[in-house]
This record gives sequence, structure tokens and C-alpha cells, in this order.
Amino acid sequence: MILFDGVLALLIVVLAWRCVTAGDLYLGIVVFIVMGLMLALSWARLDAPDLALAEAAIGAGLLGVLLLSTWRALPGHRRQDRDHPPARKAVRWLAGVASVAFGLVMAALLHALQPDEDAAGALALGRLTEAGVEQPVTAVLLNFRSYDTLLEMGVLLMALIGALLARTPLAPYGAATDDGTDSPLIPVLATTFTPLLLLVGAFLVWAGAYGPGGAFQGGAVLGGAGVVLVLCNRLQGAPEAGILLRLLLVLGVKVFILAGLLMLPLEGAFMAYPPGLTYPIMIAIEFCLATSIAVSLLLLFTGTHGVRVPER
Amino acid sequence: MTGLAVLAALALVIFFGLGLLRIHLGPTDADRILSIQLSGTTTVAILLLLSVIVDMPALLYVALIFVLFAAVIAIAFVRNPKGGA
Amino acid sequence: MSISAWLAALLIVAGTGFFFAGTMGLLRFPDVFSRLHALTKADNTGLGLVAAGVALLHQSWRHAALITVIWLLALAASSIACHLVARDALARGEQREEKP
Repeated sequence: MILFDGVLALLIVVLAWRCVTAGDLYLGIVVFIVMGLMLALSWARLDAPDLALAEAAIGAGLLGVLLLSTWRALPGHRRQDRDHPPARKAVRWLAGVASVAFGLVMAALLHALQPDEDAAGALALGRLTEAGVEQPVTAVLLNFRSYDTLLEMGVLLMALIGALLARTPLAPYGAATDDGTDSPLIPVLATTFTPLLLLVGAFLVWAGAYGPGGAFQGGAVLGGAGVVLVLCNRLQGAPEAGILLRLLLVLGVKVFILAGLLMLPLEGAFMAYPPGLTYPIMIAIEFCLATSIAVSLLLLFTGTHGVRVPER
Repeated sequence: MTGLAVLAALALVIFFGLGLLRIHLGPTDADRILSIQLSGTTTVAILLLLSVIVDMPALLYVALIFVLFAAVIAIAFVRNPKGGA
Repeated sequence: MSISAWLAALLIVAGTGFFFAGTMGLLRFPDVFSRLHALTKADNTGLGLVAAGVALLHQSWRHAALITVIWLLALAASSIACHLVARDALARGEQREEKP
């Protein structure tokens, strides 16, 4: 097994190096996606199936799709137009060497770090029964350290607003097209894979209560379903966001804060849930978070303020 | 029995590394996307084997997600999100 | 070792062999269309055999069913993906290599 880990680690380093030093944007994207596959494997080897799921759904899956679509939308993504590499060779190598140096310093620092025996981890594991869910990761994210997760949701919302302000939409309110490859399988893909992605996404959110899974992984898969719909021309970007879409966007943050405030008179502390109700509250919060994450990721993909069903 | 699964996983990860040469060589964009597809399937196979080796059934869900996104990646490669209108 | 363990070992070894063939095909075949061919055939048979072996080792009907779903989805995803990539390559005018 040590040999397997060694090959895995070596491949990740080589891929990371190629990803940074690739002379061609498309090559860099391809290497990045393949590196996501390897990273998911390494998380699996590190006994962290939650992170493997997140890496699979977000790192290799959704981010890969986003990068590929961005590349397709760039003017001159065709091969003959690619005489000019994105950066000079010296710059790319400098970036590579700097990344390696940074990685080595981080590795040395992390190696020198001695974990505290009485750290919060042991304390949290000891009181897991009070958290309402069996899964330690979800318990930490939604109960013990729910402030962090709330702020993360805020960060995601901010990122979306920033992206919408800063960039012109990939799809200027038009429908997805492909030049000359309008395959009859595209509708099949939309009708078979969208329900499956929705089902698996919802399952992952649900599974977060007792096993690996959770709002972020599930939300990314749900967002993937939306991306498939956009790519298959069942949905398209729209300049205006409907009231429903806006509500869904802020649903996670709203419900999270509301749940924290409503229980304030009962429990005497913000975000302290009464013991009997912990499980249903956390499941509800988790599904709301996943919905908001999915909608945010979809809008980050289209780069528009809203989405609508195209007229036929 | 686990020993054989470990050997198979090792072999697969080495094939994965060999398949990367096609990404390096190209020459066309399609070749590189094919390489991603092969890497994806190989990763799924390794995950299946790992789920037995370390007895972690949750890895099956990771494999499921990879399989689902494999098709999405291909469609993102061929479809142009840029509007015609 | 029980019969099912032997069978699983056989399936996994055979599947790994198919992965080897697929990887070699991807590396050695002359043009994008024949590489596509090598990939889809060998790869999915390989995944199918490995999946069957792993399903036998898991000794749980739930996991076996999930593994079957994964394999079926891989078949669907891979055939759709390869069809799309082939159409795209054709539309972009990739040439078939005439091997001397």
C-alpha cells in the first residue's frame, strides 16, 4: 500500500507542476481536472471520505466544467489561434518554483506542529451525542462551529455578487450552442442525468446526518444538475433574477440565522438548539444550505443575475 | 485477498500515470478530453478497489459522483455556452 | 479462500488487464478515432469486471446494487461522452491517420 501511496503522491506533484507550467490554457485545465481525480483518491487514502466527496463534486466536477466552459467561451480557443501562450516561460517557471517553495515551507511548518492532546477535537467527539447527528463532520459544521459555516455561506454569497459585478456573462442571455455537433444524445443526457444528479445531490445532503456527505457536497451535485440543464439548453442565463431565485439564494443564510434567533429565548444563546429538536433543525438547515449553494454555483456558472427557461 | 486488490490498485494507478502521457502528447483537444475520460474511469475502478481495501463503503459515493460528472465534463467540452443570439 | 473470493480475484485481474489494454490503446493508436475506440471498449469492460469482482468482495446486496448502478452509469456516461467527442473531432476536421 505504501507503494500505491508513493505513486499517488508522485503523480500529484507531477500534475501540479504541469498544471502551473503548462504553456497552453486548455492543457492547464485538463491537467487540473485530472489532478482533481488524484486528489480525491488521496483524500480517500487519508481516511477523509467527506473531503473526497467534496473534491469529486467541486474540484474535479463542477470546477472542471466551469473552467472548460470558460475556455470555450474565450475568443480564439481554437487550436490555430493559440500561438501565444498565456504567460512567458520564465514567469510560468517562476510560478512553479515559488509554488514548490511555498509547499515545502508549509510541509515543514505543519510537520513541526505538535497536535494538542486536549484539543477541541477530542472534546467535540466526546459530546457527539448532544449534537443531534451521528456524523462528526456535520456535527462540527452545523452545530459546534455553526458560526463558521454561517460565515462561509456569507462568503459564497459575496463571491457570487462580486463575480456578477465584475464579469460579463459567459452566455449573453442566449442559449447554449455547439458548432456543428448538435447531437441527438444531448436531450437524452438532459433527461437522464439531470434527475440522477438531483437524486444523488439530495441523497448526499441527507446522508450528511449519519455518514460522509453534507450540504456542500450535495449542493455542488445539485448545482451540477443545473449546469447540465444550461449546457443542454433547457435553462439559460437571464439579466433579471426573479423573486423566487433571490429567495432561494439567501435561503440558507436566512434559515440559519432565523433558527439561531428563534431558539434564543428558549436556550439563552444564539444558535443553541433545544436537545429534542436538534436533529430536525439541522436537517432543515442542511437542505436550505444545499439549495442556496446549488443556486449560487449555478449562477456562478452562467455568470448572469438569473436563469430562465428558454422559449421554444 | 486484500493483497490482490492492493496490487490491482497499484497497477491501475501506474496505468493512470502512463495514460497521462497522452495529455502531454496531445495532439488534439479531443485526445486530451479522452485522456480525462480514461483517467476518470480508472479513478472509479481504483475507488471501488479502495472501498474494499480500507473497508470504506462511502468511497462508492465518490465513485458515483465521478461517473455522473464524467458526462457533464464531456458535454462542457463540446457545448458552447456562448449565446448565438 | 472460498469460491467467490477466487472468482472475485479472477474478475479483478481480468479487469486490470482490460485497463492495461485500454491505456496502451490510448497511447499507441495512431489517430483520435481509433484511440476513442480503444478507450470505450476496453475501459468499460475493465470497469465492469473490476466492479463485479469488488461487488463479490463486498458481500452486501446494497453495495453490490450501488456498484452495479455505478457501472451502468459509467457505460452511459462513457458512450455519450465518446459520441460527443467524436462528433466534435469530426466537425473540427480531424483527419484519420493513414498508417503506412
